[in-house]
Amino acid sequence: MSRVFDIFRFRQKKTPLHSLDPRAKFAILLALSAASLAFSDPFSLSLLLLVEVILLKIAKSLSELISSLRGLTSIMILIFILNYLTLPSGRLYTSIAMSLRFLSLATAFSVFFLTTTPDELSTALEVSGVPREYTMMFTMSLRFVPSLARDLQTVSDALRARGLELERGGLRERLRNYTYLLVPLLVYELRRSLMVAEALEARGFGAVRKVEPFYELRFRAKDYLTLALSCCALLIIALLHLTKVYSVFTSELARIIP
Amino acid sequence: MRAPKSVAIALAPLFASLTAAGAQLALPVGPVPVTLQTLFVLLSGMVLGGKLGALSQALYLFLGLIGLPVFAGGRAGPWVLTGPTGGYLLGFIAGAYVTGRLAEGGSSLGRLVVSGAAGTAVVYMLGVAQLAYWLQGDFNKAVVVGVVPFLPGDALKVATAALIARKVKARLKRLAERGWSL
Repeated sequence: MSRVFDIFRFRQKKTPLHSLDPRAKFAILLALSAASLAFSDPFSLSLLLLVEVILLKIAKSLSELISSLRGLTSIMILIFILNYLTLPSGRLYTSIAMSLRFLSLATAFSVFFLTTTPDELSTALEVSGVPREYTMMFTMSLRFVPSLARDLQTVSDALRARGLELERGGLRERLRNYTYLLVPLLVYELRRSLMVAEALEARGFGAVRKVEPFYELRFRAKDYLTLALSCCALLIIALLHLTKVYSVFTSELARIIP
Repeated sequence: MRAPKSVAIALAPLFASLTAAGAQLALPVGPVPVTLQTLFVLLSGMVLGGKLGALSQALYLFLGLIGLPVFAGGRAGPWVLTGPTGGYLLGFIAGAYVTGRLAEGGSSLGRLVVSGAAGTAVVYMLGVAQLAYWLQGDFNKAVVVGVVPFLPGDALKVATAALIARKVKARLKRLAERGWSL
């Protein structure tokens, strides 16, 4: 399962997509995910997938998608079976479309997250008007998750060394074992959080209302171009969705495929 | 709990990541695994209070939304929130808020248990509503699948959360009296 998330983890590479402004990349993400939700036939969704694969190819990250394809396919098969069993008519057609929709949504998100660092993301949030406290909390949670996993391992190792078997006994016994694990863990983590708070205070957090972001974001020509193209794509998707053109096309397709 | 802003900012991410860790700790009860997520949802409300507790859970959902594998079973992505079990996750925010508001009044064990039970009920309400929507509006089936198997585990979790929260709150109170210095 963990392989699935490889497509969401940032990797440092030198490609045109990596050097784009995060806000421009967000526009791409918006257009791609809107397209995967607006279209509901296998043909358009395959076409969309092709576009995403080309984008990943530009980002030199196609191998990440391929390595996590096994995990993704198991989810796709699950979605296929669920739809196939519950739908009254046009089962094959819709089931294929739904699994393709999942794949194209996942790929759309991976295009964004494979090429955007967490620091860039929080700077982009800050520049877009999200209050500094919230972006601060966002980056802090990103760092807390792995270190918490490590501390959890440390405390449970310490308990095991003292002869406590965490994975034994009935529900009640196990929950009691968890309190032995959680009270020291919580106290430990609270202490560390308060140290972080002290470090924030020491650096004068909240003393100045307006703080310049550490990383500077600049919109260059290619960012404007990307933004314009994404907006055009969004407009076309909306037009296709609202006008009758697309629904005529899908009903024709549905007649051919059972 | 009146805490300076820096303390609040450091504590909300902590509880967001604790809920993420709780999603990976599962108790095998009957056919469905019971995760410790709601334990931390309740604890975040009890320890941080309503507003900050809800904020910590919103942070948790945001982490999962952008693709970190923090939901139960290592899942992530917006489709988890819109899927059959997404209602429970959205319920975490409301549940932490309700628990927190009720627990802000004091830290007696009885009060904490009642606030935890109320918060759990809120999580269930939102969870069942979305589950029923996915089961073609079959409300009874949603309750049978989505509430009944988890009730014994949740009763124990409410009790455990109350016990832990009392200890942690007492410790934080001592810290507050010393001006939040370690």
